[in-house]
Amino acid sequence: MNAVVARLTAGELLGRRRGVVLVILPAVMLLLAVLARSADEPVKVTILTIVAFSLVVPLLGLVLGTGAIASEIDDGSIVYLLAKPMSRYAIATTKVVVAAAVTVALAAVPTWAAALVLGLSTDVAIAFALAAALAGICYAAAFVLLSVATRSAVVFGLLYALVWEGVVGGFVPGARVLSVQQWALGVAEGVLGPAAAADIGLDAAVGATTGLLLMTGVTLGATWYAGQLLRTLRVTGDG
Amino acid sequence: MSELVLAGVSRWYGNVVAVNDVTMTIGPGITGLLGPNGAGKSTILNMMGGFLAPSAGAVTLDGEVVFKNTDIYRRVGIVPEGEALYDGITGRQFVMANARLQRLPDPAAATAKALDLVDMTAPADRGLATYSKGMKQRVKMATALVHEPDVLLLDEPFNGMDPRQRLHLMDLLRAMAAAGRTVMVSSHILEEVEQIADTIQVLIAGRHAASGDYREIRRLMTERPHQFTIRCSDPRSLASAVIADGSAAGVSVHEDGVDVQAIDVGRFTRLLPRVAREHGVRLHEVTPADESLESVFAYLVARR
Amino acid sequence: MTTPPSAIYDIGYRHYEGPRLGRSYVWATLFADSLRGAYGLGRSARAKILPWLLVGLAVVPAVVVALITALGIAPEPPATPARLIINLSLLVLVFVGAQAPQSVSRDLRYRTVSLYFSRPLRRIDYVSSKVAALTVAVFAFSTLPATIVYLGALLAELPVRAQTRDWLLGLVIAAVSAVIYAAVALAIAAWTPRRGIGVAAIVTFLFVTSTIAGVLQQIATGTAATERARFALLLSPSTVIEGLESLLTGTATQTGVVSVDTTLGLGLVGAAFLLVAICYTVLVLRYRKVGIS
Repeated sequence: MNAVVARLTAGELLGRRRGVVLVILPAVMLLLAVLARSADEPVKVTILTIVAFSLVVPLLGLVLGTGAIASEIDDGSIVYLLAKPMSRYAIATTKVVVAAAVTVALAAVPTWAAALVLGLSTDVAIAFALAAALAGICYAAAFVLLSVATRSAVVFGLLYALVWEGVVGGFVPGARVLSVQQWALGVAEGVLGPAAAADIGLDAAVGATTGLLLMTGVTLGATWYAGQLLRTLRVTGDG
Repeated sequence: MSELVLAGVSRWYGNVVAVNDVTMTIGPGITGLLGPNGAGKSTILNMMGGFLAPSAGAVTLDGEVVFKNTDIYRRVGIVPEGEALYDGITGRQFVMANARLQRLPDPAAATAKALDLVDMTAPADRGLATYSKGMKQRVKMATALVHEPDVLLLDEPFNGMDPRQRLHLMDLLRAMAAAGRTVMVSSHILEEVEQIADTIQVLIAGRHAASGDYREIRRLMTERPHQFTIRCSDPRSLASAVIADGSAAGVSVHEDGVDVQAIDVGRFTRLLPRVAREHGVRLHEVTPADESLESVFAYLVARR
Repeated sequence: MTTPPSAIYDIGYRHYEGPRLGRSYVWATLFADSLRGAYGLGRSARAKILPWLLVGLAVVPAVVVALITALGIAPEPPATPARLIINLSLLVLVFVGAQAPQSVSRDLRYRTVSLYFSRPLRRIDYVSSKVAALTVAVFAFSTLPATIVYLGALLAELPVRAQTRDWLLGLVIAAVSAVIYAAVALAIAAWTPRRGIGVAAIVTFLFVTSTIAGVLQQIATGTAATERARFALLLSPSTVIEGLESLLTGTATQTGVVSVDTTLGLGLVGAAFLLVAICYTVLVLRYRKVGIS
């Protein structure tokens, strides 16, 4: 973890134009929460689950995870970080931490707020916020890794975030076990306790411990592997 | 005093050989790495910078392998080709960040010194996005100099610089070389390299085509006759004397001088003053007409 | 050896005064090149992966439906061609989101747009050929699964007229969705030279708007405001297409909003036209200000 890298990355992620765009997604979520206040509770929970976990959290994780490193690799300015006596793992870790922190701020906190605006209980709000935070961290790490591994990270990330999480993960039973969304919701279920969870119709594909372990494993593994790949990253020229 | 050694280095990608068995030693002073585009210059630079492993052979800095070795960056400064820099921060902040990443004990002082060296103290507090191409290039130099490295690797450093900035940079590089640092400049602009490089390394199609001082390389190119342009008082006598001697492949006579194509340069240079004195010809000017880096280079490229 | 006198040698460069192929030829060439580029043809191997992967993903459900029909497992095809296209809209969305930047972002990034416009190619030609090419590409993408389902129905010897009618409706929906998606995607992609940002922007826009529309429908359906729920269809390109499909086939939409009546139908058609017109205008305006650097 390196403070200078952190500051540079945060500057890149929250620069004026990008910062404005990033705020749109949570704003939309809150707006929908306001509009959905009059719906029945099961509908509210479904809406929150879809909007937060199929849309806002994965998309923010994608934009922030790729934003933390992809453009630097793409235009070659990553060389300023690599040509320093600094461990590549430190670079990867810092990038993931910054991306994860911003994702938590822009996804988990609004999820908590949206749940309260919808009129759901504080317990539910906290459970969902926690789940959103964990999922956001996991996505950030995974997309940082993807950005180091391939130049088309955004496209493949979108395919995953939308097609897999949104459709397959929701409908195909076997695939649900492989979805970050389900792992996060499993943790939410665990936090709420089985009775409260059943009350609001929450039924994740995995249990709380499994979900937590999987997310931790993916986060740590992705960060480590990103560091590995950075050690052999070629800083291209054209001669 | 640092030495960068490439020993039998090759790099291939599948069936494509980018660098083919290159052996060279880059020592103190300014070395120019020349070659047409696609010759493997950037591959070699990547390998020297420790970003790429050779498929065969070894790249070492003072005996230490450079690949996957982050410690070398304390002694090596790299000026990349690309224009891209971080937005939203000033030049001073950028150089300062680099200084901090280098773990320097006094980053502020080092930053000020580096900015002064590249003559960027005045605009240092403006945003990087407002800089012209030449200013960005100078800031990049500052980031590479801030930790006072022994080795400097520069990729197309004169890109985008106006003549005044170019002269300034050349002076800077000469000063560093005089202080005993190892400077390597990769370029395909021969005129600039000609002016500053003590040694050149020529890469053509991945192979190491020549190395050393370019004038000496020229002398080694014996298949090609050397051109001399001589302005003198009596061209005809001089021409006939030179032809009679036989060390020239061809002579052409002009109103005020003679153009000679000499096969045996050593012999010709001893011949010329003797013959001129014998025939009473006054020599006004003797110029080797094609002893430029450009002609050396053209010959090497065509020859392979 | 004497130096030869100065001369200019004729090495074959000649000024051309003869007939030239016209503007339509230029347009057709750019159209063909952009169309091929949408499927990665004429580009590197890496550029072929995504479009053909998506084609494969689109074909699989179509084949499954066709098999179910052909083998007589179900009495009726589980999905009509038109409805299948709607179900596959996520894949169409990703396709257009990924391939619109492939078409225009490259020219912006490497500044070759100014090279295009210094040839006898008007700006309107550049825009129209790119739009036409992507529209045709998306149309082909949607038509393939629709046709597979139709073939399955024919093999099952279901009544030809009804099935052909369904197939033709499918083609109409494919065409409508192609026109709308291509216009929206290009209008967004033309604003950035970076392909990744273009893809993210298009897909985010389409996905977010369709999710918002879907959520609003859900909200309204839950309460007694079903009337208003139907107008949520107007809020996003994807749902406009959905609504148009429902209008043409006379069945309920995917999300269960019961039949689209005349008012809503007119509204949908109007919204579609308006959206496409806005996108074309945005595109033409964008290429007004192209310079050399």
